[in-house]
Order: sequence, then C-alpha cells, then structure tokens
Amino acid sequence: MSEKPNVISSINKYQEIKKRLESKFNEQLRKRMFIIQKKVVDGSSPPSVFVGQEGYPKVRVGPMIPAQHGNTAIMDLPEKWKGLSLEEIANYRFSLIRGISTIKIENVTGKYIETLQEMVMSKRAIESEMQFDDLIIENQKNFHGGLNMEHSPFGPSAYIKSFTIANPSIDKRIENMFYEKDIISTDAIMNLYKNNIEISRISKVFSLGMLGKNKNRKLVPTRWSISAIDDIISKNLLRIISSLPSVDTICAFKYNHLANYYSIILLPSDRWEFEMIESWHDQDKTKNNNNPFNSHLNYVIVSDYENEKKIVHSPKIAGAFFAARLAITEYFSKMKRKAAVLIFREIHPDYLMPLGVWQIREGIRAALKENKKEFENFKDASMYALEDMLVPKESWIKTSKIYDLFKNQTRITEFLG
Amino acid sequence: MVFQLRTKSPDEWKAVTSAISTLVDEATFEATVDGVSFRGMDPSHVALIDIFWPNSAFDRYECDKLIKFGVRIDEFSKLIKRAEKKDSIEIDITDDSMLQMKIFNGYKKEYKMRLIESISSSTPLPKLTFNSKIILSTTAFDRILSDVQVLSEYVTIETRPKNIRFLGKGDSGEADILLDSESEGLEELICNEESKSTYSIDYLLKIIKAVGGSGGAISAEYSSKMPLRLEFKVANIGRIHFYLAPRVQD
Repeated sequence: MSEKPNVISSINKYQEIKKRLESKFNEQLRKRMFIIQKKVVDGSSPPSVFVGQEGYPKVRVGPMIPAQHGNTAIMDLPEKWKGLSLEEIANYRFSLIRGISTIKIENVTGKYIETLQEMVMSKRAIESEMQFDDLIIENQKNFHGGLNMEHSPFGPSAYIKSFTIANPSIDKRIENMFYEKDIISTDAIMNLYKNNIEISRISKVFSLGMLGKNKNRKLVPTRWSISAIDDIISKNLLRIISSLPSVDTICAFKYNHLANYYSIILLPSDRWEFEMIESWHDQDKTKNNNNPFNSHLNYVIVSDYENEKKIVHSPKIAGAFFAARLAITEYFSKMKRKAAVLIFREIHPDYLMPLGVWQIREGIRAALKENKKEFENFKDASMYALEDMLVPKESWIKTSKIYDLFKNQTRITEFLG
Repeated sequence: MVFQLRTKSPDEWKAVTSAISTLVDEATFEATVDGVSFRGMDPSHVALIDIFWPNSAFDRYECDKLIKFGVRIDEFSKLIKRAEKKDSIEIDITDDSMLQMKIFNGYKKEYKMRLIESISSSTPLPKLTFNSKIILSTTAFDRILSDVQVLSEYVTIETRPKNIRFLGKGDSGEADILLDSESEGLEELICNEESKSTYSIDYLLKIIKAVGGSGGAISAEYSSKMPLRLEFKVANIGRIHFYLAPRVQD
C-alpha cells in the first residue's frame, strides 16, 4: 500500500519530537532533582494540587510548585492550552514539582489541607514554598512511566515537611461554595460551572473535599475527580437537553490537535444516543515496525455507547467518554438542540504521551466551533468524517453501534414515491 | 373568524395528543370546514402520524375557513388532563394567538394558552400498497412486542397465508413468536403475498402504549421491506394512522 505524503512527514516529525522530548524530559528531571536535593522549592504555584489514588483511602496529597516566580497560571490551566504543541505542554508540566503527604480521605480539615484549599481558591498564581523530608524522592524514570490517560503529567515528587503560601486573593465564587455546607456536591458543582469556573479548577476544588454537605466531604484522587466532574456536569445538562427539539439535519464537524483527530456526526433523534469510538496504534505491535503509521493491522479500536439509560460500567475509553460528553452537552445547551452523537477519535503515534482528558474536552469543544457541514444522509456524513483517518473506514463502521442503529434504518421520506 | 370545537369528553383529545407526543414536541393542527387534522414526522423521519378527526365527531364544530394552530404538546396535554372523563371540552382560538380551553364540570374551568408559530410546510404521505394485513388486540400486540424486546430492539414480522411470526435477534439470543387463526388476540389475517419486514420495537411500543388504551384493536398493514401502517380504532376519531419506515440490511 502506498503511503500518503503527510504520513511520511509525520514519521520524520514523530522520531524527531520523540528524541527531543526524551532529552528535554531528562534534562528537566536532572534540574528538578538538583532543586529537590536542596530540600526546598519556592515558586509560584499556578495554583496546582495533586491527589494520588495509590493507597486509597490513604492518599498522597500535596501542592505542585515550579521553581519559578511570576504568572505560572498557564502551567495548570488546560482551558488555555489550545494551540500549544505537545512539547510546550509537556515542558510546562515537567516543571511542576509535586509535594506529597499521606492523608486519610476523610481528613479534609487540619492546617495542611486547609492551606491547600486556600491555595486552590486563589484567583491567580500564588507564591509558595515547600520543604522536603529526608530525600525520599519519587520520579518517573522516563516519560512513559507514571502517566495515565486522565490527568496531565508532572515532574518529580518528594515528601513534604512544611508548606506555606502567601496571602491569596480568594475567588469569591469558589469561596461561597466552600462555605455552603448544606447543599449536595452536585448542586455546588453546577453552581461553579454556571459561574464560569473552568472545569479544571472545579475538579481541583472537588478533589480537596471542598464541595457538598459537610459530612460527605472527602479527598478525591485527581484522576477520579476529573471524570466525576465531567460526568456530573454533563448528566445535569442532559436533563435540560432531553426536552429540547432535535437538530433538523445530519451534520459533521472535524478538528485535530496534538496528534488526535476528531470527527463528530450529529443525527436528528429524539432519544439521547451517544457513542465514542477510539483507535490508537498498538505499542507492542508497532515496536518492530519502523513506521508506526504504516500497517493497517497495528491498531486497536474500541467503542463505548449509551442511550437514555446512562452508561453503567466504566467506559473502555475511560475518562475520555465523560470529557467528550461534557463538550457535547455544553454545545447542545447553548444551541438549544439535541441529537444522537457519534464521535470518532483517532490517536496517532506522535501523541507521545497522554496529556490528560482535557485535550479531548477541548478538542471536541473546538471541533464544534469549526465549520459545520450538513449532509443528506448518514453514509455521506460518515465518508466525510472518516476521510482523513488512517484506520480504514470499514473498521470504524463495523465497530459503531450508532452506525448500525441509523444506517439500516430507512426513512419515511424515501417512500414518498 | 369562526372557530369553536366542542367534545363530550376529553378522551379523544387525550388519544390525539399522546399519539403526537410520541413523535414531536410541537404540533401544528389544521382545521377546515370538514374537520381537524394533524400530520407530522419525528425528527429522524422514521415515523409519521396522520390524524383526521371529522366534524361529525364533535359535539359542536364551527370553522368557516382553514385555520392552523401550533401548540407545545406537553403544555397542551397538561390542560387536557385537567378534564375528567365526563367533562366536555370547548376549544376556541382568539384573535391574539391564544388558545382558549373551557372545561365544563361542576364549575367552569377556563384556560388560556399561548399558541406557537405554526409550521407551514405540509408533510406528504408515502405511496404504499400493502400485501399483508393483520388485526390484533392492543393487549396482544403490546405483549408480543414486549416478548421480543427482551432479546432484540427490532422485530421482523413475517406474514404467510396461514400464520404470522414475530422474530427478534439480539446479541444474546433469538425470539420467535408464532400466531395462527386460533391464537388469542389475532382478529384478522390477510396475506396476498408473503411479506417480511423489520421495524424498531421502541417506536411501535411507544405508540401502542400511548394510543392503544383508548381503543380496541390495531390493524397493521405492510409489504416486504416497506413501511408499516398501524391504524388505531378510536371511537369518534376518523383516522389515526402511524407509519413506520423499515430497517434494511445492506
């Protein structure tokens, strides 16, 4: 099979970025380790916190602070990362040094946690300092280790001895919900969302047990918190959307960033039908192949689907499902319309490390702002949606539940004679 | 403009609105000297409802020219539901685009509801010839479809001169239901040509549950790989037809 020209340039770019990224990571790591060895880091936290899931219900909680001062907000604000390259984002993230302290999830008070809570309520980056214990350091050996799909990567970690912050300028919208201890967390989350607090900030606040009824507050590992927020907000939006009228025509949207290709098809429907199909290249199979883009056999393809009965199992595509659902429901509530939704996401090998599900949320948000194309029928819409994908059309279609639901369904208008 | 419709009970309105509500949120009714009609498709154009309600079915019917009026179905049926079985209902359209509903009971209830913009385009009917026809009691039809739905989202209806089969196939297994002239609930079976076609159970059950309660039997007519037409026999309403497009395999 002949290679598409853009594929060849992707391969070269891929090898090049991979090398650069690895050396950058190692260089950053050396620098940070050197700083950690001095047992103290002071800098402006974006603000940023991290709650690990290992050891649950005793979790490792702490701030993330870069060894630099000034406006570092961008380092932990994915909503502002649109248009940045993978390297730029990775570099921001690698600069964050994570302090950790082991705490039971029920302990949402006490000086340490309260300082963290105060920190994430800060309107802007905040001067902070952490001192470390006797050099018990954890780090990712290479940039493939210690990463997962939901949250963004970060630099090395060390156990904290003490932690202080400057006096923050508090965001009133968050503070109000923090002190509102009689409403359930869902209502508090929706309140923050409606008050235009970024999703990434809501999930930080939620992870530190700052929302909901007092007795129910607890620490939530960052990874779970991100998906919980996407899930809760989109479910709430869906309740309103279900009574809205359907879109009138079949339409499709496309967008790609960070080596992730998105295509979205909206189909007129009175029922909520939502499917996301993802494909990526199998690392094991591509290992012995110099050209990871080339083979048609080296990909994995999976689908998750739900209708009015919301998904009950953990999605195979994990937090990506909820992040995508959030972006879609947000669009529908703005447009005052509903539809059946089919999302295709192709992850190319030059997506060298998972950057977090924010990139799915933002990718789909961006797609829905791009040119909308309307179609007469589902088949044409699918052809358009899949024309740039490396994985063959038939594989996507064979995997799709919605394609099966809609494609084989004729329409009354075909029988008008 | 002269326009006033009066019915002896809310039942007909209930049947009409619940039928329409299975497909759309907003409906435009059309009234002429002859009667009231509605025709509309769901957003995905898989199903169509065609209703005609002749002037003779009303207690009082006054309409001197073509009038279109649009309502939000859920709001409209909320008002209808405030009437009890023996209440008569009177509907007027006022000049300021309001629908006025009077319910006569022990006392007079009067509602006013804002009309919505009516849709001007009319929906044409599909051109169909039917090779098979069955008449089933509502209960039997409901039960058979529910039986199949346990395993499948679609039902394949296979009609032969002597019997009819309802088949379903899902990820976990298959359902097969056979009815012949002896079977309970099957009131009529006409087969001019063997017919086999597949339809979405969800659409069928929704409409049967919405309208079935108001009537006795349901007639279903279709041909192979062609739309199905259900006819609901509701007292006083000339015609409630429900068309459903088939599913086909490539």
